[in-house]
Order: sequence, then structure tokens, then C-alpha cells
Amino acid sequence: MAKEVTELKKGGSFLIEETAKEDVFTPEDLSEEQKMIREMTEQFVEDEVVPQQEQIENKQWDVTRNLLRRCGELGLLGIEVPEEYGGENLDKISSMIVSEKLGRVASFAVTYGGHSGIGTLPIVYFGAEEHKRKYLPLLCKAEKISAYALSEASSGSDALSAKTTAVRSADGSHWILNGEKMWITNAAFADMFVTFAQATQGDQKQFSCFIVEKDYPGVSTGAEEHKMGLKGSSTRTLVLDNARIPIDNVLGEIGKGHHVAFNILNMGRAKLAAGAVGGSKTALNASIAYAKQRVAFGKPISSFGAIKQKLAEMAVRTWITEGMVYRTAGLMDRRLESVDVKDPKQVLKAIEEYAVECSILKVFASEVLDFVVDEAVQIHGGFGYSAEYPVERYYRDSRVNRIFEGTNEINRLLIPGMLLKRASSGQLPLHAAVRSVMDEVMSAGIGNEPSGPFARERSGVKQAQKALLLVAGSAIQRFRDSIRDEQEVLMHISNMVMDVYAMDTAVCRLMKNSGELHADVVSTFMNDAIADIKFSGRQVLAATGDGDTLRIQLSALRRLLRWTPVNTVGARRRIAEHLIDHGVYAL
Amino acid sequence: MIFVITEHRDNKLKSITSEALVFAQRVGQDFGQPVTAVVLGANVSGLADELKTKKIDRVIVAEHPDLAEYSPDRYVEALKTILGNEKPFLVIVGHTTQGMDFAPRLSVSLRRPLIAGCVEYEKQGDRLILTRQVFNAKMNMKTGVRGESPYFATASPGAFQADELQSGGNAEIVSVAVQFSGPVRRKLVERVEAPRGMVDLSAAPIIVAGGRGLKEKDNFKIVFELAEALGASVGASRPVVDSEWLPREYQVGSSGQTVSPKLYFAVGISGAIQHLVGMQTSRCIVAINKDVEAPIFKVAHYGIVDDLFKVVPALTKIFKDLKVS
Amino acid sequence: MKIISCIKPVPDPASRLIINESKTWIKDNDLTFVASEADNYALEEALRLKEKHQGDVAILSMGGDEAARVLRSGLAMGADRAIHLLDPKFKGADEFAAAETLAKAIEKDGGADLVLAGVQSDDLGTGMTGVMLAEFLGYAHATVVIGVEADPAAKTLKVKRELEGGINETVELPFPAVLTIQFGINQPRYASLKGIMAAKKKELKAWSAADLGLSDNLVGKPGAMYEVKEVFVPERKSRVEIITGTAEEAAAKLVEKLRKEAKVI
Repeated sequence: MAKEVTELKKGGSFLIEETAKEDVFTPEDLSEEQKMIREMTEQFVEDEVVPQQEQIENKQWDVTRNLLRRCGELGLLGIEVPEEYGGENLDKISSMIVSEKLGRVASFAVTYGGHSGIGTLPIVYFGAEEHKRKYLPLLCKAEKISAYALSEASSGSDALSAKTTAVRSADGSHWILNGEKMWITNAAFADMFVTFAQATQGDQKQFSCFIVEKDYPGVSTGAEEHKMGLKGSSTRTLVLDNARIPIDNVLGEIGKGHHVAFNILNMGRAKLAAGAVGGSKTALNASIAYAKQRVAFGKPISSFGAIKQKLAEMAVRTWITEGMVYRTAGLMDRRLESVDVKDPKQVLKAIEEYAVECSILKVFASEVLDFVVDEAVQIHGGFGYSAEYPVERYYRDSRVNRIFEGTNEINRLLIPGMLLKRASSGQLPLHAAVRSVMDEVMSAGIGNEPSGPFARERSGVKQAQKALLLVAGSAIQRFRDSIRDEQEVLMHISNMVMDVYAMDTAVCRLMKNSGELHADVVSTFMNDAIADIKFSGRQVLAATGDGDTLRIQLSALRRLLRWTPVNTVGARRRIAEHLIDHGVYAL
Repeated sequence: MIFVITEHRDNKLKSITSEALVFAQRVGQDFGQPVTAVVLGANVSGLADELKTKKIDRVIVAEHPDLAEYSPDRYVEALKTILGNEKPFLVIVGHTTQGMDFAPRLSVSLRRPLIAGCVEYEKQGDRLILTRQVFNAKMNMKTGVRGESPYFATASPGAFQADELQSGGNAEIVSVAVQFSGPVRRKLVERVEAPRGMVDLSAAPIIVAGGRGLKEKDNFKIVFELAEALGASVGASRPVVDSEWLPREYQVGSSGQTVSPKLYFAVGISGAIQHLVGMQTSRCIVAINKDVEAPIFKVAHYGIVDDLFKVVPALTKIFKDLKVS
Repeated sequence: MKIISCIKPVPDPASRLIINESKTWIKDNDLTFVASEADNYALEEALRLKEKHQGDVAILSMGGDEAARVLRSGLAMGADRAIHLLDPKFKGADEFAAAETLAKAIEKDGGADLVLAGVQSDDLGTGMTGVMLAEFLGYAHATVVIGVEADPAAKTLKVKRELEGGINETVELPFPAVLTIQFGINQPRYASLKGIMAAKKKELKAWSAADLGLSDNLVGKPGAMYEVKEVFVPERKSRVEIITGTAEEAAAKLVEKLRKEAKVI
């Protein structure tokens, strides 16, 4: 990792600045240690998890628990836990690496994340000293397994409206919890639950977080959910029936449960994206292998353009997402270098700086994974629909990624919402950028074109930024503060923001590690992303203006997004041939 | 002069010796060089008599009580004496555990080249080019030895056909006295048959052997099912045993059992040389493997390039049906 | 007990090997290198002996960045220190030159009670370097080792070896000794995250040919005892008959051939 910190990049700044390639950490920049962590995790998954996948999918929880224990021995459970509590306290890039590699085994990855992520980190960041000493060393070794209990049957995305109550016992020694939490990962074998409930006094309800041990009186779990996928991860309800929780088991403060609930989500979303990258690579590898050996009309189907096109597009989107994941982790790590890592508040604040990027990752990566597993099934034909081949499972396992850790709709709404908040609080000079773009395009100019190496790609990114600012500016002008009610418009804007982040990251990665094949990948992606940006932009403009204004804006948009198409047929063919030649995703 | 250092145990020549002699006879003819076989041991005159009948020029016998059991220190010392008195061109040793135990020491001690694992040679002018295997027999390498002779070479098992050994000679038997001054550092404590339990594959007429291509332990059941349908025994390649899918006694290959059944199924076995030497003399070899490049197809008579998880159950079904009818 | 474990970097077995332009080796510039598989067993055995008897495990490797990489992995697995034989002059060494260079390094390090190496490498694969190393050092040796018992007080070893044909033998030999370790003798550990992070702080020293006092004609290509004339993929003896069709068809055809043509069933 480059130590010479130039200037810490603000979250969201990719929308208004030209990114220097040095500011983008790429998967090619991994340190020797990070590479070793990658190899170790890969080996662990290959040697120990994959061979037991059938048992895992059959809900043999002893196998799962043993594997968690092995993770503990290898140090994989304490990546984000300080050393004094038995963890390793590693960088976020390393954390992404581990999540990516575990993404190959989706059920176990969710178990792992439920325990070491959302099950453990609330204690790291919000636990009192006694909590940390009591629980973290055990959690790092998987001697205790943790779970996270936020959702309820009637509250998912609106978690704060939970109905579970917590009332002080008459003698003041305990909290008495009543209610039922839903979708609790690891519930079957968890020893403790990070549980959210409304601390209730009279009419006053205060959303709060509690550590609930399984053996406390009144704590039980329901039956296993029959899920579409992730059948090897346990999901049950947590039933709290006059559950008696010691008074000291409050995580954070009474009434500040939302801090716990929301601050954990950023890293969770980023790690979900990393896992999705791992899942995409896995499904792609299975597809390459199948396409090479499946013969139709006397030839392996990998020799057909229709299949090549699919393989290439799966690889392109995977490569793009991978770049975004590691860039974001790199941003966090850089910022974390300048804070006191012993102070959880500072750590969380550093991570929160990139909350927009985390939401982008979550949405983008989960949708790429869904695209990839869908194409994987398609390439496998009838066999893809049969449980005999693993892609059938990949397909089912993928789907929930668009639902949990904040639905993609919630995250799509959060992206512009958070950006506007950062703009109005002065953290991001968004409004100035919007104004300058509006002035520029209205005066029919399109500004200075970048020159030098990769000028075309850099110019594409710059113009896309401007297009986005133009469209967003027009929407803000039209709706003002009520824009938060215009969900359709916000979602379109979100799509544009994601594409800009994706393109910007890809171009910087290409500039850092230029190669013919990567140039093909980037131009293929940009070709389609710019078309998508144009599509979303037109929708928003048409919804915000009419008549001459609309005409002028549409023509400005067209001018900005002028992009001579590249020969994506040829590019995808070259990419596919490279994949087929190597037999695996090897970009 | 070409020397072959013979290998024997329990007063019997090992088959690698015949292979090494074939190698020597061929090089000898091409280069116009006489062939000498060297026997080190105690009370080995019977072996010398046997070697004498081969088409070679001389048998050197060095007998000493210290040579009754093989010892690298003693072999190196004895051979230094014997070779020192001569002007060998090429010294051929079997590429076996024993051969590779002393030949490298000899090579270093005389500072002469050793080309190990030779499968072929060629004559380029008056130069000897030795071909050896590299990358687990996936590739071959032609090497030109440097400097003055003698050159050392070890003959890869199976590379030279023992049945091509020419007889009809009447070699001179020469006894050489050897004396030892150095210590014997490594001492044999015991030699035992590796525990092999119930499985003795040496007499099995049909063997179904599985390899890494089966992916995991539980999948081995399809191998057992095919074997049962065929009335065959089950074997395994080394990686299977190393991963503890099956006990060591199932292993076929250089460090396991050497087998020669009339029918050998290699299921998901890529065919590392260590495996091939243990089964390549089987009368009929069937290879089932997804990878058409797998070396097993080099020794197989019939091959199916497809997913073994489909082919093997299909075979099992056919044999079961045959049994019923 | 002082143990030195030798590690050879070889192309990752998963990689596709392509012969280079001059047909003298494979194209190795953009391959990933890993420790030769048998060397992992050797290092694991070294670590276990250390855990049992105390002492020091050093690892030794020759080569460029790829050697540094396998050494760092070895340190992460638990070796105490590493010696990197780093010199462009070492390039092109055969087994003989490699063994002499390794021997000089071990001598410079003050010798060892025990030197371990894998039974054979995944590239050249002849299993001779370890034995040559023993001769250069003047140490006793045992090959194809499947079990090691050390008695550091008596400075002796009891070693089980695997011979052909399912025979095992037990031998005794004195310190110092070189053992070449057979695959499967143990289950090599993974580096843990703690191990990986600790590796950064461990000693990794680099020695050149000059540091070892080796003249140019003894190392690398000039020190090799043979020159590589050609590396090639051997032609398949194409006697194999590939049976085609769906799995069921191929199976049926095969059975027919085994009965009618080969007459083995």
C-alpha cells in the first residue's frame, strides 16, 4: 500500500473530480501479506469447505460449527477485532479478500458473516470494556457463535419500527424482552444474539440494542425457514418470551440502537459485494469449464459466439465490480491510517465517510452476481436447471443478495439521499459542481477534453460525470426538497451514480495496469454504461421538464454522451477466448 | 565403455536391471562401446552367472560382507574404486529408490554429470544426447552432458523394454577386491512389508482404480460399485491415498503395488509417471478422464474423454445387466 | 536442534505450461510460483520436529522474487528465519549447481543438525538435489522419508523410508543428515493470519554468489553439468482408441470392445 497520503478522498468525490489513478487501489496492488491471506483463504475453502458442501447444505450444523472453529484457528474471525481481544485488527482490503474467497461457498459465507460481521462488530464498536473482554476472545475462536436479530415480521427495511419490547424488571436487575425477531442467520446454533428492541417506559419507546444469550430464561428459536437458497445457513426466528436479560447487557446506550444497527451496515454492504465478486467468479469458472467440454453440433459450445458473448460479459462485469470493491476498501484503509484505531467512534466515522460507495457496491455487485448466475444456468442449458450441477445452487443462493443488508431499492434511494445530505452539510461541493455544469452545457460548450494516455476513456468518465450533474441538477431544481418523495427519479439518478463510479474505477485500474485485454474489458463496459446513463438521464429529464427546457437539456445530454461505439463483438470474443484458453476467470 | 550398476535383492536381479542393460546395449551398439555389468554384494556369483548369458562383454563382481545389504556409503566407495580403474563413457543406474540413493552422491563426489530419469537417448555426431522427463512426465527434456566422461544416467522404469534384452553372450566375469575405509553412517534397522491389510492387488485379474478426478472421498463409492459389478478389485492413485480417501494398501504405483491385471480401469487418474510404472504392463487399460491431455491416455488402450460421474455409473449399469442375463 | 528446510519455487501446478521460444524451458515470466509440493511436507515436518524438540527452523530458497515469495509463505507457516539465495548468476542452475550453492549457504549459516527437502520437485522432478546436497555437505542422508524420530541428545535419527513394491525400511543415521521427505508424511498446515502478519517481522536475509564465496563457473548455467538442448511435449504413442458418444453410448461401445475385441471380459 502506498504510504504517501496525498489528500484523503472525500466520499462521493468521484462524482465531481477527476480521479488520479494513484488514488485508486486495485486488486493488482495487493501486498505480499494480502496475497498470502488470499491464498490461505482460497486453500481453506477449497480443501475444507467445498468438500463438505453437501453436508452444509443438508444443515449438518456440527460441520458448519467445526468449520467456523477452523476459521477461528486460522484467524479469519477476528479480522476486524483489536488484538487485545484476540483479533488480528487487519486492514479492510484483507477483510474484502477473505469475504471474496468465501463467496465461493455462499451458505457458509453467510454463516461466517452472520457471526464475524454483524454478530461480532456491534460488540467491537459499541460494547463496554466488560462486553469486549467477555465475548470477543470467545467469538474470535468460535467458542461462542453470534447472530444478529434486527428484522421482525412487520419491520424489515423500516427496522426502527420494531415491536419487540424491553421493560425493566421491577427490581431493576434485568430487562424483560418480549417479541419475535425474524430472519435470524445462525439462529440454530448461535450462543448469543445481538438483539434490537424498544426499551419501553410508559408511552416512551427507545430503540435499543441488547446482548441476549441463548441460555437466558425465555429465549428460544423457532423452526428453520424453508428458503429458496442458502439452505446451508440457518435462518430461524428468535422468540423472546419474558426473556430476562441482565441489566448490563445493553450495547451502546438506551435509545441509540439505531447507531448500532446502521453503523454496522456499511462494512456489511461492502463485504457482501466482495462475496458477490467471489460468487461471480465461481459461477463463471463453472460456466467456462462446462462450455469447454459440452459438445453440440460436433463442437464444444465454447466455440460459439453466442456463448462467448455471455462468458465475456460475465467476466467484464465481474472485473468491473472487483475493481470497485477494492477501490472502496482502499479508500477506507487510507482514511483509517489517519485515525486512532483504538477509538471505535473514529473508526466508524472513517468507514461512514464512504457510505455512498458501500451502498453502490451492495447494489451493483448483487445485481452483477444475479446476472452472472443467470447466464451460468443458461450456458448449462437443461443441466443448469438440475441440482446435479452446482450452478443451480448458485442461482438460488444469489437471489437474496438483492434483498438483505438493505434491499437494493432502499440502497438506491440512500445513494442520492446521502449525497444530498453531504452536499447540504458542506462535506461535498455538489451544488457548485452542478451549477458549473449547468452553466457550461447551457452555453453549449462541453469543456476541456482530457488529452494524453487513455484520453478517450477519461473523457468518457468526465462527460458521464457532467451528464449526471446535469440530470441531478435538473431534478433538484424541479423538485427541491420534495425530491426525496420522487423515488423513481432517485433510482434513475442512483443508476447513473453507480455507472460513473464503475467507469471511473475501471479507467483508473486500466491506467494503472494497462493491457490489451483490460482495454477491451473497459471499452466494452463503458460502451454499455454510457448508453445506460443516457437512458436513465432521458427518463429523469423527461420527468422534470418540458418544452424548450427539455429540448435544450436533452440535446446537452446527447452532446455530453457522444461516444463512438466500439466493436464490442470483437472485444467480447477476445475476452472470451482468453477465458476459454485459461479455463478460468483470469483477467 | 558402458557400465550398468545392477540392482538386486534376495539374490534376484530386479527387472530394472534388464531395462538398464537394454539401454546399455543400444547405446553400446550406436557408439561402438562394450558393456560391463557391475554386481556389488556378498555371495552374488549366481547373479554374475545369470548376467554372463546376456549379450554383454564383461561382468564385474565386487563381493564384501559390507555389501550384503545395500548402503549408500559402501556403494559410493566401492563404485569409486571400480570406476576409477576404468575409463567409462556412460554409467547407467536404475531410476529407482536405490539407484537415486547413491548415484547423485557418486556424481557429486566425482564431479561428473548425472542425467536422471532417462527415457530415450540419441546420437548426435559422437555426442550422446539423453532425454529425460520433466514436469511429472508432461514434458521431456533433451540434455547434452558437459565435460569429460564418465557420464551418469538413471534409466526410468518402463522406458526401456526388458524383453528386448539380448542374450547369447559369454561375458568374462571379473572379480574386483574392494576395501572400505569410510564409515557406514546409515544403518538398516528393519525392512518390512508396508501394512496392506486385506488388499492384495498383485493377483487381481481386473482392477478398477480411482484418482483425484473423483473430487472427494464419498464419490469413491461409484468406483466400488463398478468393481462390484465386474467382480474386480479396487485400486487408487497416490493423491487419493494421501488425501486419506482410502488406506495406503489400495495404492497402485511406484510406492504402492505394482499390478499387471488383464483389465485395468483408470477412473479420474491423470497418470503421473509414479502411477504408470505400477500398472502399465496391464494387458488392457481403459482410461476415463475429462482431460484429453492426461498422460494416462498414453498407456491406455481404450479411452473415454467425458465426465466420469456419468460414464462410470453407465458402465456399472451395463455390467450389472450383463450379470443378470 | 537446528533444522534447515529447503524450498524450491515452481510454477503453480494449476498453471498452463508453455514451452519458450528457444525450447529450452517453459515461459515462466508471467507464471505464479509456489513452493514445490513435497517441500511443504518437508517444512511441516521441520516445524513438527521443532515443536517437539525445540530449536530453530530456517528455510532456504534460491531464485528471484518467486523465491522470496515462497520464503515469506514459509515464514508465515511458522519458520523462524529465511535465507534467500539471490543473484542473477544463480539462474540456469541444474541440480548439481543448485546443490552446491545450497550446500555453501548451509555451511555459511554454520551447518545444521538436519536438512530437509521434498523428495522431488514438481518441475525437474528427479529427486537428486537433496542427495547431492548431502554429498556436498558430507552429511549422511536418507531419501523418500515417511517418518522421522529424532533424538537430539544422542544426535541420532530413526527414519522410515518407503521403497518400491510396498516395502518400508527403517534406518538409523547420525546428525548431521539430509532427509528427502515423501508426499503425504503429514498434513502441512496453512499459514494463519497471525502467522502471515508475524512473517513480516522475521529475518529474511539474502546472499549472493560472492557472499557464498562461489566463483562464477560454479553457479547457475556455467555451473551446470548439462545443457538443455530441447524441451518438448512427447508425442503420444497413439495406440489409444478414444470412444465417443454420450456417456451411455460410449460405455456400451466400450463394453462391446472389451468383450469382442480385447476379449478381457
